[in-house]
Amino acid sequence: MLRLDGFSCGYGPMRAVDQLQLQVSSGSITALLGANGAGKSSTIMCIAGHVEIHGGSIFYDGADIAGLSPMARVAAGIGLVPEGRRLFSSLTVRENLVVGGYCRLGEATAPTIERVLATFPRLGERLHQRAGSLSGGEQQMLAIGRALMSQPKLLLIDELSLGLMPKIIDACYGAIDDLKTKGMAILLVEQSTQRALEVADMVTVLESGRQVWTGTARQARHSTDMIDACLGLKPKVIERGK
Amino acid sequence: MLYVELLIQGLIYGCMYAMIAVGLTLVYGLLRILHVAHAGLFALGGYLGLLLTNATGSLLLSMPLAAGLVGLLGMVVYRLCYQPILDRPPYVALIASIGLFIAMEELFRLIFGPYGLTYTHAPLQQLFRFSGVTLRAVDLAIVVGSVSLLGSLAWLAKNTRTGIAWRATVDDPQMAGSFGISVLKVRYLNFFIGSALAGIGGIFISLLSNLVEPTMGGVPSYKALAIIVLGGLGNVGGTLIASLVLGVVEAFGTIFIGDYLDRDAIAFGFLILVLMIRPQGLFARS
Ligand SMILES: Nc1ncnc2c1ncn2[C@@H]1O[C@H](COP(=O)(O)OP(=O)(O)O)[C@@H](O)[C@H]1O
Ligand SMILES: [Mg+2]
Repeated sequence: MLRLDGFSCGYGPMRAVDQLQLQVSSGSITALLGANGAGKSSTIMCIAGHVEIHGGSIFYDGADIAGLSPMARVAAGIGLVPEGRRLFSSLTVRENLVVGGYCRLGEATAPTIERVLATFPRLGERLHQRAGSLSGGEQQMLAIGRALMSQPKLLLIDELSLGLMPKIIDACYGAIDDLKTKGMAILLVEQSTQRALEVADMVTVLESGRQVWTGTARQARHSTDMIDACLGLKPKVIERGK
Repeated sequence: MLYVELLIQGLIYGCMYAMIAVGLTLVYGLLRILHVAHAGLFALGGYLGLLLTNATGSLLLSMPLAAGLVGLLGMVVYRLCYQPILDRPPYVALIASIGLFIAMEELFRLIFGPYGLTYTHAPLQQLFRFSGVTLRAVDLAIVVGSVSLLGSLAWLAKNTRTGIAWRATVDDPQMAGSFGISVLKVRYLNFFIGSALAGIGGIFISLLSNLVEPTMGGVPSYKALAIIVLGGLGNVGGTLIASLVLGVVEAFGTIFIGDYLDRDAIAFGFLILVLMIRPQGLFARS
């Protein structure tokens, strides 16, 4: 579904990710791990079209989408749950969902909202509450729900469990697992290596913008050097002239 | 009875302030720009309303026409004055805006002459009497007009797709854009509606005083800026309340300390006092 080939991205002259190879298939989860500042968010935001690509290609559904606008990518079926959630905090839960389905112009949004509420019943109880007044867990559910409103085939999730209570994390992972079973391709960024390894099929580890490990989750679970790489990281920056 | 009359006078001015200040706070919310030239559009509304009424003899016809023209000009101001400098630091837009405002005042002077213009037949001057309180038709028109216009705006913002898209864009333009909302259209709409409302505010004041003059935007521009700070920058509800509060404080102030300070001095004294106690405004956004 998604394939990154020699993928590099960054901010102006600043290179955040260099020469990344990564693949996410339908009905599977690829976990992208790494310490703070490793370039995970940059990768996610670049796939979604918000960060400048420096090289390589982003193949999605067989075509290179590197030139498309963020909006065109959402319309093509790439859903984003960004770091920090970035909900429309003064809008209600329902309004956030409406905006999430905005690109599906002409289609009735009500059935899609119903489906999201079936996945996250708690949102149904808060439908007319402002998103900014929700608890952290409810906000994360809403961020996922909003992304689902565009009926994506690929879901990009940045920091699913960060700052959430264990029970809520379970609920979110339950939903993710469910989506995977239904055939969605999911790229998951996690701080909690253990959590990610429980659900992932493939694992890629970044260190300072470089890929230092890649393999199946089963291999990762038995591979201590991978864990070491993950924990022994120090944030550093790879700078390059343009 | 005096208190009731003062309260009513205060609310009338408050409504007028609200008509100007809402557009200003909307622009701030969307672009983080202090749109000083907004008061120029307010004055233009006064001029167009008066000239069109004098030409056609119908206020009912000239009001929407003038509002529409001012709204369109607001869009032009965005396109020519702000859009090219959006990626510069905010003070660049502020300076551009002040420059534009001064230029507009001078243009009014050149085009319409340095002295004030008046209505040939001042409309809405009939008097009404409600259990001891005397009101002019124009007083009623201002209150009814502002409440229904601002009320409809609030309803549209809450209940239409476009309204939801607008508020989403204010919250997070980048995310809103990625979901397929045209951020540019939202900006144009924002300038159209805000400017049209300010234009109507200008017509209201021209009716109250039967006068338009090149500098009529001056005092309202400072007042509206202070009001939106008081209301919590970008907060529309807070701005409406702050407008009404200021109108009422002014009305009572002119009676009780009017011998020492004039209306505008009272208003600014009050604003300074409040901002000393609550520099983030009365209703700062969370
Ligand atoms: N908006 C930005 N502008 C410039 N540099 C950025 C920006 N966002 C992130 N970076 C830099 O890019 C690198 C990768 O950051 P990020 O992708 O956020 O890492 P992670 O999500 O793995 O913690 C870091 O060195 C960070 O300082
Ligand atoms: Mg990150």
